[in-house]
Amino acid sequence: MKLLAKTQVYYLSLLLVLLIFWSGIFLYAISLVLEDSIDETLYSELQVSIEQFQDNDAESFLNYAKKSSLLDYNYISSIHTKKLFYSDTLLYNSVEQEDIPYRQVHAEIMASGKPVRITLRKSLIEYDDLFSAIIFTELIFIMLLITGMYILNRGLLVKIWQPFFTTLERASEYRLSQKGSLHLPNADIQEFDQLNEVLMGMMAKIEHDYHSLKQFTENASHEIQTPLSVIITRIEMLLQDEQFDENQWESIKDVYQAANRLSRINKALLLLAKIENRHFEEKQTVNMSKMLTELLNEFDEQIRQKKISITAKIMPSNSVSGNEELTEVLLRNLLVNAIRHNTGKGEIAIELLPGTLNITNSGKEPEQDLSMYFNRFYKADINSNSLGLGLAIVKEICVAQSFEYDYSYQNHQHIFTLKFQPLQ
Amino acid sequence: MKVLIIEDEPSLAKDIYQYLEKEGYICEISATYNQAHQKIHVYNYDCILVDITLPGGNGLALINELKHNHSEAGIIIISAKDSLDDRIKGLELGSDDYLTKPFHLSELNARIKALMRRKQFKGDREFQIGNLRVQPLEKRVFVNDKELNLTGKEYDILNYFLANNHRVLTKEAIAEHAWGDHYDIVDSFDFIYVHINNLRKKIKEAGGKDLIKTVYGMGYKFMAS
Repeated sequence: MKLLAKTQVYYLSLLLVLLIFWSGIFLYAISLVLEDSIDETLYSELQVSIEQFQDNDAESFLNYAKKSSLLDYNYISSIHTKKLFYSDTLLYNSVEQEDIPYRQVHAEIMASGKPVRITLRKSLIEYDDLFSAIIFTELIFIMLLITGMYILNRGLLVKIWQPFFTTLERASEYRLSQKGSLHLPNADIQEFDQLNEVLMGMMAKIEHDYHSLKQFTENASHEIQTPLSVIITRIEMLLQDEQFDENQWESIKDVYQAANRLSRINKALLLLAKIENRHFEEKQTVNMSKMLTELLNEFDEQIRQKKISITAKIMPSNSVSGNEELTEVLLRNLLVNAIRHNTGKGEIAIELLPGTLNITNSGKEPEQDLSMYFNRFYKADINSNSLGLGLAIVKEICVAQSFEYDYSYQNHQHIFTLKFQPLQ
Repeated sequence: MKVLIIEDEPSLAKDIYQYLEKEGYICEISATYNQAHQKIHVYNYDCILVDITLPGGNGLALINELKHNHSEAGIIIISAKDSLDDRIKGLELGSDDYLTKPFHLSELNARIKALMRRKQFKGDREFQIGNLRVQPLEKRVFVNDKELNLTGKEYDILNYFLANNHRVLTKEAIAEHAWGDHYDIVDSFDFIYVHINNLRKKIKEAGGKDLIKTVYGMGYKFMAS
């Protein structure tokens, strides 16, 4: 739930509960006051009736009482109390054809020497209408109050939380690897200013660490090159002697192969570090069609050796603004992948249109999520000779050059799609 | 033929020195910028190998100076920096070749030979090794005046053998020479096997002797007397 909605729900539900509670108390108080005044009226009317009863003869009074629905009597065996009894009752009204509420009072008196209980009633129907009117106005009042509060609150909350939302937006748009540090504006609210300060400080520290780590990776890869050169050249010098037995040859071979592999890994990591450290910012007009055709010629032998049938639809002079070196590495890695991970006697289809490059190749069904392929050192085939860095490099180059890519597997085909901004 | 090795890593400089000495070159080593600076002003060299990052200065400045003095020496940059920028900068300054560390000594040797051949014979001559006669510019090879019908890659590999006569060439070095940095794409070692078998067959068919010897699964060695 959103911050504003959550606040509103708490605020308004409390308000609603309070208002309902208040209107209950209000109605109860009014009903008490009304009952009191009705009882008083009944009492004074009863006194008048009793006086009349005692003044006139009982017979005519009782006759009168028979005709009135508001006055009732019945004989009782004896007088139990001199107290008056007030109570509520419902009586059926034949005109309205419904039960109507009454307030009534009982009194036990002696009439013509006989104990009689007389009852005096008063209809409450007009008070019901009064209550309905009160409840109706209360409801309108509650609705108006809640709507007003809702609108007021909303405006207020939006205004107060605005700096927070700005911070949230800036922070979510922020990318560590991009240029420019996180800048958050002054909020004029102490807590938000504090939040912004903490965030900016944290980001500056992370940024600094990130860049020094990247720099370290690059420097380390660089520094490794020279000792590696020594290892490889020293082994090559050793080889010239040829004075070894078979076991020694085997050991030398293993060391030599491992050193060569290390050298290749190091070169790939160095390239990744350099892309991340933005060594390839310079942009040129790169003729993709020409580059792709040249690369296909270069790989012609390998393609033929693996008996791969290739179909290439390359639209001429398809150019893009990018770094030439990176674009070549990108295309090379994609072709290498299509060749290396192809099935025997498989196929490759290449289609270069303005703004789109599709490379489709037959290959083994992927066992894991395709996005894993772009992780560093991920190898779909453990036994393969590959370093597991090719697609990681492709990904970094796409990010650096603002190319979009998509990779999918359909109908036993691996499909790589590259989208770029074509130059006219 | 005099070669100056400007390299600050002593063991690497020593290996290059030993490998090239066996080829009959007279080699000298400079480990710092200042040392190299003095040497190129005093002596003349046929070939200079320059590392870019040197204690005391930048190798590119040395190339600049050599060109300024109208030096005739061939220049090969050997650098740990594998960037197109440096490559272009180096070649623009007038270096003849660029080799990225780590490299194979046999590759360095082949590059020096090719460079020297270009410089000395202006590339229009032919040379003879064993019973093979090579015209490098036309990429043609003859055995007993009979031309071998070689593919581009076969010529590249044979040429690499000829430059490194009597040296063990590892499969990695051959693959990298023939296919560049990206030799690991498909099983290049199988390719090498196929190419070398074809080479042997073609040389034999033309009446030549098979001089390519296999070395313990590590590589091959060309043996021309």
